[in-house]
Amino acid sequence: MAVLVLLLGVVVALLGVLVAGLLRSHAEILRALHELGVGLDPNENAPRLAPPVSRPSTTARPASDLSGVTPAGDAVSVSVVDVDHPTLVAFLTSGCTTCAGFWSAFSDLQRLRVPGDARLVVATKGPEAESPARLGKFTPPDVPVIMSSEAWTDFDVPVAPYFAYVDGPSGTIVGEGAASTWEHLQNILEQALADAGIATGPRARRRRGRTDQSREAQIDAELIGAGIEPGDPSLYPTRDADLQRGRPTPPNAS
Amino acid sequence: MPQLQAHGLTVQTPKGWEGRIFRRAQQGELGAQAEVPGPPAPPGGQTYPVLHVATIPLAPTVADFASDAVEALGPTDALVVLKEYAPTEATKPLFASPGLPTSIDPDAFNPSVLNRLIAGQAGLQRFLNANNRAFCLYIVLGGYQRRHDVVPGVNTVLSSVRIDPGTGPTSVPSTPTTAPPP
Repeated sequence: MAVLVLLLGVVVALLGVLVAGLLRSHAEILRALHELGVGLDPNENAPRLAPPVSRPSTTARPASDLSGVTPAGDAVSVSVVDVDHPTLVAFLTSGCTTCAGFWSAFSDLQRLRVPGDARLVVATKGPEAESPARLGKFTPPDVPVIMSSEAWTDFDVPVAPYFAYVDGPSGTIVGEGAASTWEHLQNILEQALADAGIATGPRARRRRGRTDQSREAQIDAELIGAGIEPGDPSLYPTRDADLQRGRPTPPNAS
Repeated sequence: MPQLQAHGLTVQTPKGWEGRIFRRAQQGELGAQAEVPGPPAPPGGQTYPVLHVATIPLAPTVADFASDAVEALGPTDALVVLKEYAPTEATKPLFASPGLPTSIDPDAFNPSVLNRLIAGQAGLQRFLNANNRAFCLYIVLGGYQRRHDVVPGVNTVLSSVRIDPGTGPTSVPSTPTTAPPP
């Protein structure tokens, strides 16, 4: 009898240690999720400002063009390097609760103010890790969605949702991190772009290099010097012959 | 260069270019609920693949001939459309020209050959057949005056296009891949 009680006591003690270990592991997981902005409390409505999982700003990493398939099964590639516009790549999944808010926000691109007037692109994992049918229910009409696990590897994505802001002309990632809401992401990006000296206004997409600007100014000066003002018909040739002849004669000229 | 492959078409997109090979949904296809823009084809209607390659960002909802995207073309931009038609058209006189041109003369572009006339732009259109399939090739240059600078890039894209044999609308391979080029 005494042996039985002793054995029972040992078993209870072992179970107690096991439960304590599980509780500790659970708490660590919850804390990690909370730090990433993912809460499990369904009654919690207030937005959580998750600290971005950002890399040191001194290490500007090169970006990679995206290629993969769409949820509909078509092939698609998106160029983010060596282009004149910035691109905001959103790495989302169809399963994470925080991602749902972003899918919803992206459904109305016209009302969405993307910092730096960047082009918005969503990258999910490839069809081997993500359900195209489930994604189809989230796919926004005006935002390219690329299924590509390779993109997640190329951008070294640690969690979802995750965001990378790519400067097109330099082909580098100038800002990246996690966020819990679109508003939170906007704040983070605008701060990051301001720190990087990149314009965040609506005209940012059309910004050009200094060489282009000086060349354009020089050409404008030469044209005006030659008597060709803005709107001059010779600036808009409609036939090859117009170019061969040079400046066309105005219709009402004698 | 990324290689796009879907619906029996393959293309490589050079740096700074992007592309898409898609087919609009037919009646009853699940794809109509997802990424494919626009309503599905009417009952009995067949849809065929469209290939877009451009130096500008292309929205998922862009029209087959990209008439809603051409205004974004700058002087050194270009847009290539390869749109397939019913295989039965491949033997019609309109599509009698064999094979996809891969070395287009910049002077073959014309400012009046445009689906949507925009000052300064120029276009080119060719109807052709390849491997029992009928296609229309439509190219828009953002700047007619820069055609000699831009068309070599267009020819690079065209040279990378591969058209698989097809004998009918249901025989076209539909499994897309983005495998790296060999």
